[in-house]
Amino acid sequence: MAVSVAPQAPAATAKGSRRSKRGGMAIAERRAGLLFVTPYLIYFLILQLGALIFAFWVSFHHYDLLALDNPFVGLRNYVRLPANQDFLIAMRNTTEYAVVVVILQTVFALLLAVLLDSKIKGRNFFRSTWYTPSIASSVVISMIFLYVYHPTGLLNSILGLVGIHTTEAYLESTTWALPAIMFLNIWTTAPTFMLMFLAALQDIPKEIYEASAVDGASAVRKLFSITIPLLRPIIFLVVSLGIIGTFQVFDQMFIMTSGGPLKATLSVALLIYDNLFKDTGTVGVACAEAIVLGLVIFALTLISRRVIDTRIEY
Amino acid sequence: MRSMRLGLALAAVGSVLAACGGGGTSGGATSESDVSGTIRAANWGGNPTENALVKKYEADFMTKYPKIKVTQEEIPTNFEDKIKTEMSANNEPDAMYVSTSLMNFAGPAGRLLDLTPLMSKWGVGADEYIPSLLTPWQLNGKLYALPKDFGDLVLFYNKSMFSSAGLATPTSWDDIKSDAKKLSTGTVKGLSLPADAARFDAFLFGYGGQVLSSDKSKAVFNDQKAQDALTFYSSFQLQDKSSDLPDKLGATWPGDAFGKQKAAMVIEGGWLIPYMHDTYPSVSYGSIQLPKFPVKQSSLLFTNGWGCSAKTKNQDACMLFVKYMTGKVVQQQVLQSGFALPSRKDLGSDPAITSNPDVKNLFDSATFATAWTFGPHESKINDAQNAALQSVLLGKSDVKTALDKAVADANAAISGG
Repeated sequence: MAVSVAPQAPAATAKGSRRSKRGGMAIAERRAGLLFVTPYLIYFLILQLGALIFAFWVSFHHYDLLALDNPFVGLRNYVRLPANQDFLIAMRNTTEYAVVVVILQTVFALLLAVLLDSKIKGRNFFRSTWYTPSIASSVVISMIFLYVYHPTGLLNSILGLVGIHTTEAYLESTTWALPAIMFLNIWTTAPTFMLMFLAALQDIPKEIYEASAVDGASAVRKLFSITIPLLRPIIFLVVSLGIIGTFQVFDQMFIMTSGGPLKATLSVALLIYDNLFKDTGTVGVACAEAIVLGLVIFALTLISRRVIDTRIEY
Repeated sequence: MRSMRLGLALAAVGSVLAACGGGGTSGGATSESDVSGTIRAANWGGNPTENALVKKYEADFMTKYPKIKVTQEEIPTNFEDKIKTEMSANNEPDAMYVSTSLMNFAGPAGRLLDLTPLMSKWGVGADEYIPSLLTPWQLNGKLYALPKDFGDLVLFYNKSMFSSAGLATPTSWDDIKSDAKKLSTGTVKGLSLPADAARFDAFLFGYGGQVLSSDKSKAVFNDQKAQDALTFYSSFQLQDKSSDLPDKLGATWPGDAFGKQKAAMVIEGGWLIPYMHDTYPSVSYGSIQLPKFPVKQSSLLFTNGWGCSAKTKNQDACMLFVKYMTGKVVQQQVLQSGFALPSRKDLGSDPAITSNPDVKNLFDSATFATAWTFGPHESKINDAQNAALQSVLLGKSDVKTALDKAVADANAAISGG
C-alpha cells in the first residue's frame, strides 16, 4: 500500500512522495466519504432495499397482514393480474393521467421559464408567486381543491360570474373527476420544473444567441433551434421525474375521491393501498402490483432517456 | 425484564386455564380492586370532542381502579389500517375500539381476545346489551368485543315544508312516495337518496333480500328481491323525479341537502341531530321509523365496540376497562353528549331518550335493524354495491345488469382473497 511506503522511504523522489501523499488522501477521503454516506446507506438498505426485497418475496405468497400462515403461491399473483379488472382500470387511468400531465406540465414549465428568463418587469415577483403552489404539500393542495371543485365552490362561483351557471360536482362526475385532478397536479408541479428549466437556461452561452441574432434568426427560431435542443438533458430530467411522479400518483386520489366515482380516478398506487389494507389476503397481490408498477416506470424512464437524452452537438 | 417474563408466564398459565374452561385468567386476581397493571387503549380520535370524552372516561376509570393505568393512544384517521399494521408487527394496544371493519379483519384471524370467559369472571352479562348489537362481534360461539354505542337509520322530514304543502306526517311508503312527488318543485326535491349501500341496504333487507348468502360464501344481492328493492329505491329519482343525489342538489351529503332545505326528507341517523343543531338551527324537523317494506320493517345498525388484543398480557385489566367503557356510567354520559345512542337495554327508559321523540325513534329502531357488516371482503363488496347504485342512479345501466355485474365483482373479491 502506498501509505506504508512513505515512512520507509523518507528520501523518496518528489514523484514518489506525491504519489504516496495522494494515496493517503485517497484512503482518508474514501473513509470520510463512507462515513458521510453511512446514515443514508443504513436508511436505504433497511427501509428501501430491504423493503423492496421483502415486497418481492411477499409477491409470491398468498399474504395477509394478520394471518399466521401465508402460503407460497408461486407466480399466481402475477399471472392473475392481466385478468384483474381493477388493475386494468387503474393502469388505464394512471397511463392516461401520466401522458396528459407529463406533456402539459413540461410544456407549461418550459414556457414559464422562457418567459421569466426574458427581461420582463417584476421578474422576481413572478418567480416567487408562480412558485408558491409548489411549496404547499399535495395533501394541503388537495384539501383546498376539494372546495374549489365543490358544487357551490370557487370554480362554479367564478363560472357564475361570467354567466355560466352550474352546480356540476366535478369530483362526482365520471367525466370530470380525472381531468380535475390532472389540472391540479399540473398547476402544482409545473413551477418546480420551471425552476429547473430556469437554472438550465442560465447555462446556455449567450454567444450562441448573439451569433444567431447576427444570422437574423427570429425569437421562435431561437427557441426551437437553440433553447430546446440545448435543454435536452434537463428536459429528460423533467420528463423522467414527471413519469415517476405521475405513475405513483396517490395523495390526490386518496384525499379527494378515494378512486371514485365508478373507479374513474382509481390509480395503481391507490389500488395497491386498498389491496394492502382494505381487503383480506390481498397483500401478495398488492406487492405484485407494486413490482409491476416499478418495472413499468423503470422501462419508461429508460425509453425516455433513449429518445430525449441524446448527446448535445453544437 | 423479569416482570416481562413473569407476565408472559402468567399469560401462558392464563391461556391454559382458559382453555380448560376454568374461567381463571392471568394474574389470578379475584377481586376488581386487586387487578393492577398498565394497558394501552387505542381509540379513533378523529373527532376532537369525542376524543376528549374518551380521555375523561379513561381518567374516571383510573380513579375507580387506582392500580390500573391506562395510556390513551388516539388514532385520528385510518384507524383500522394503523391497528392492522401494529398487529402484524405484534405491537398492538391492549384495548381498542373494535369497529365492525376491524372485527372483519382481526376476528377470523384470531387476533382479538374472546371475552366470554372474562365476562363471566367479572360479572358482565351479554344480556345487558341490545341483542342485535352483539351480532357483529360473535363468531363461532365467541364474543370479541362489547358494543359501546350505535347509530341507525330513520326518516327525517322537514316539518315546515310538509305543513306548507298541507301534508300530514307520512306513515307508509305509499305516503312517502306521493308526498315526495308533491314536495318536488324546481330545484327542491321531496327526498335525497344517495348512491350509497349504507342507505340502500335498508331497502334490500326490507324486501327480504340479502347481501351475502347465509354461509357468507358468496354475494347474492342480484336476486329478484334485490332487483325489486333497487327498482323501488331508484324509482323516486328516475320515474317520479322526486329525489336526487345530494351533489345534484348542491350538497355534500343528504343531511346537508336536508339542512339547506333542498330535500324535504332524508334517511339518516342520530348524527343528523347535532349537525342540524349546529349548522341549520332554524330548520324544524321531525322523524319517523322507516315504515314496513313489502316483507318486513328494516333499518341498518352501525356500531363500534371495545375489545382486547388476543396477545394482551393483562387480560383482567383490559376486561375491566371494556366493562367500564361499555358500562352504564359511561354510556349515560355518551347519551347526554348527543354523540351516539347507548348500547345498553337499561338506558332505554332514560329521560334523554324518552323525552325526545327523534332519539326514541332511533333507539327503538334497533329492535328490527340489521348490523351493517359483511365479513373480511366487506370493502370490495360495498364498492361493488355502490358502483351498482351509481350506475343505476346516473342512468348508465338498468337494475338487473348493474346488480349482476356488482355481484360478479363482489364474488371475484371473495374468491380472490
